[in-house]
Amino acid sequence: MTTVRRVPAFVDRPRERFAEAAAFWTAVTGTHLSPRRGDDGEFTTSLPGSGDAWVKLQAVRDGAALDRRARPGRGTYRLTERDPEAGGLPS
Amino acid sequence: MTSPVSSGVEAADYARIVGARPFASVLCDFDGVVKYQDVAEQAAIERAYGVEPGTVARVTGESALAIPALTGLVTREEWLASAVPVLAGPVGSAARARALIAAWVAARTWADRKVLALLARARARVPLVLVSNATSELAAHLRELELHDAFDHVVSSYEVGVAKPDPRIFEIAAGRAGVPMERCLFVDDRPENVKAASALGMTALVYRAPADLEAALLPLLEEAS
Repeated sequence: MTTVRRVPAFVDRPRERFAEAAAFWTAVTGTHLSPRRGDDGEFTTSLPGSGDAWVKLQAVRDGAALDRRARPGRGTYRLTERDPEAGGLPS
Repeated sequence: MTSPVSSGVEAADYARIVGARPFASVLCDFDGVVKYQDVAEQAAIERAYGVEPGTVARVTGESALAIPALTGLVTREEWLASAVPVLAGPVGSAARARALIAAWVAARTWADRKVLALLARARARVPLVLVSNATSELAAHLRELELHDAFDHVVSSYEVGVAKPDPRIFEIAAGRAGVPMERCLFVDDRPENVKAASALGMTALVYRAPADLEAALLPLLEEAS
């Protein structure tokens, strides 16, 4: 029986939030970023000290999506707006 | 502009991939996330007194006692009283100003049941801490809304003497939870507070709707199911 120990993940994030997303992923995975690749420098890989790289990040122009190869189709979020005023005075 | 919202997205995606909790405590704001007041009713009250909707919020917000009221130096009653002289002219008398303020603060108030349900599910797994920029009346309002047992800890700016986004209130809240700040999820509707929490290493979410909170809590909610 094959045991899956690592799932490659491709994290797509809006260009304007890319630095923050990259900082999060390198922090929680104990990795560092590779040099940027692509025509616009939109690709990077989160590199571990040893072993295989398994998180890659891409800066995209619109939206935010997780392209997770093992369980696709569950990673897209839409952040909704609510009324700007909660009303009232602080309790 | 960098949006702190993505931290919540990152945390949820991280948990989905790695199968681990990115946080060990949930720190949650009160007004604007859990507690709401009827803005339309307040606007109708203000119109009935002949002032523009938003006037009472503006005047009380501009009061020199606003920050002291949130940091334990004056009571909520003293803060509200400071608005009376300012409103007396527009509404005709000090007595009418007091009546306007009394009606305005008494507008329908409620707790968001969807948010409470999500927080209760999270609380089954990790400590839940209320972190509120609040006045002398927070405890009374929690009792009125039957929320006095809904949190493991309540950190009131009035009690601790510092208000969000001061880093010290986040440190106090993490301390009450007994977890390092980088293991906290912080939820607030004000971007400046979320930015401060994020700068301290917390996973931080700008709250807009229950779906945002559900997405950020997904790691815990999936564990509990």
